Amino acid sequence: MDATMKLDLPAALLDFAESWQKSYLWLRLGWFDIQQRFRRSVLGPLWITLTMAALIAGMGPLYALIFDLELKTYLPYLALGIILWGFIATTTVESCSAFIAGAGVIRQTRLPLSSFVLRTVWRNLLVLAFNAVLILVVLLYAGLPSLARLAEAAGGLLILAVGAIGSGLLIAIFCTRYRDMQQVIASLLQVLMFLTPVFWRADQLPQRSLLIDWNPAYYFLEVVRAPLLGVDLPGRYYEIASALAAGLCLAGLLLFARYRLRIVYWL
Amino acid sequence: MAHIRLDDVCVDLPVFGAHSRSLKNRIISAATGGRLAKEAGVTCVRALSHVTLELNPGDRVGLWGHNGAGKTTLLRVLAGAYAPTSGTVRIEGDVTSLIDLALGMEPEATGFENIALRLMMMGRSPRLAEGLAEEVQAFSGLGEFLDLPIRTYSSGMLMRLAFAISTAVEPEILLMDEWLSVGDEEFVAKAEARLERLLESTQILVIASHSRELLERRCNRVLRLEHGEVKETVLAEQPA
Repeated sequence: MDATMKLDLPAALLDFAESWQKSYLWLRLGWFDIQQRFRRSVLGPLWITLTMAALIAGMGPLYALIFDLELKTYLPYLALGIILWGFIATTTVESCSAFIAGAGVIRQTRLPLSSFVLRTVWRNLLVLAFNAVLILVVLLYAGLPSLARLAEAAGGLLILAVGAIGSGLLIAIFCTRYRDMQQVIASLLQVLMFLTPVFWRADQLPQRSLLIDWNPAYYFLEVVRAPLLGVDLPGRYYEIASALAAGLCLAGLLLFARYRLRIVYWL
Repeated sequence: MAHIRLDDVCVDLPVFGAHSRSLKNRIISAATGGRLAKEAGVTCVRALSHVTLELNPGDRVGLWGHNGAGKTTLLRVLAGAYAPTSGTVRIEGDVTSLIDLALGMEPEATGFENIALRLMMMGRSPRLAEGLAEEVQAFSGLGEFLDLPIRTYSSGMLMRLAFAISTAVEPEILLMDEWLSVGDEEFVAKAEARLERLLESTQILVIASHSRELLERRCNRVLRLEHGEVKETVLAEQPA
């Protein structure tokens, strides 16, 4: 009935290809977003690192005491947990407004829409990079992983980033149409943070829980965190995380293929 | 060669209140069925109705009509921002839109940064943008102020910068919403000259205006829009 709502997969892929071609646009804008946030502050984006450092330094010793764990093993676990969770949660929440924030531009010019999602993910990867300094510091204190493990973590990060693009696309489209969803997603993520082994360890539970086995966030978290902690993670984790990332991308792409031309009318 | 072809184009704009856009109402209406679903349905405004149009190089097209007649919607379709709800649109050529000059300007960024960002949004690669930036800086005449965030600019200065950026690229298709007049007396003359040059070089010009007089002076075709329909095409004389 409506020409703007017919499933057009090639056009959706072409949109991504154009974003790739014009990568300077979202790369530059993502970096600009970060600079923007800390403009007029003396330390600038370094505040990202400092804020996170304060959080970890404050929580680490206390929770190590509460959980009765050795600080040397708990601190890197916590640091990685908070930082990676921060990436997952912030990317998800900010994806809600990926298109809405660009409404003015989208309504008047023809830019590839996927670039707005890529800008959001890229911006959060940059935040992650600022926090990576802390990860390095903590690991220097607790013991560096081997090169092979480092490579595993890099692979895990790639899976995480691809998953973030898929879910970002999915969420951005959905939240543009239904404006309540942003609140729903923000509150769900808050609950999920406590249900996911971010602060606590999975082996602290008396028995294997559904919270872990059926928690997609846990797999995304583990494929980066575990190798950096020097843990030998079963290959199954990588398979599940990859499958989740692929699933998110497929779902996002299908929704995008159907509603790409419609998004501008929802703004 | 620039070319635009619109075939039986309709644009229905959905009007969302807070009401229809929430998922809650969607669920409630699904649960209660028929009647409520109808009330929760999205109201649509037909902004363009069965527009068929072909524009070729050399065309200077004026869009004339009351507020809400569909002029801006048509410009947005021509800019490639709105896909038609039905019908087909084909646009060949590089489009420059002067509909909203300050589009995508970031208040916290400096003049220099805004020049670079805007030129990229207009589809110039960083290298091309760098080349163009110098000319924009010079034309804007803002000098050292370009180092300051543009939120500190007066509205006149802001328009000068926006104008300088928007007109930096020689387009194949130029879209305008009303005639532009920016800056103080001295700048107005400079801007007019630049705009004239742009108008001269562009292959296709589409300008929307309330002023019949302006359109007749500038255009060789004037389309009268009424309730989203192209009512009549007046072929004005070739502009002198």
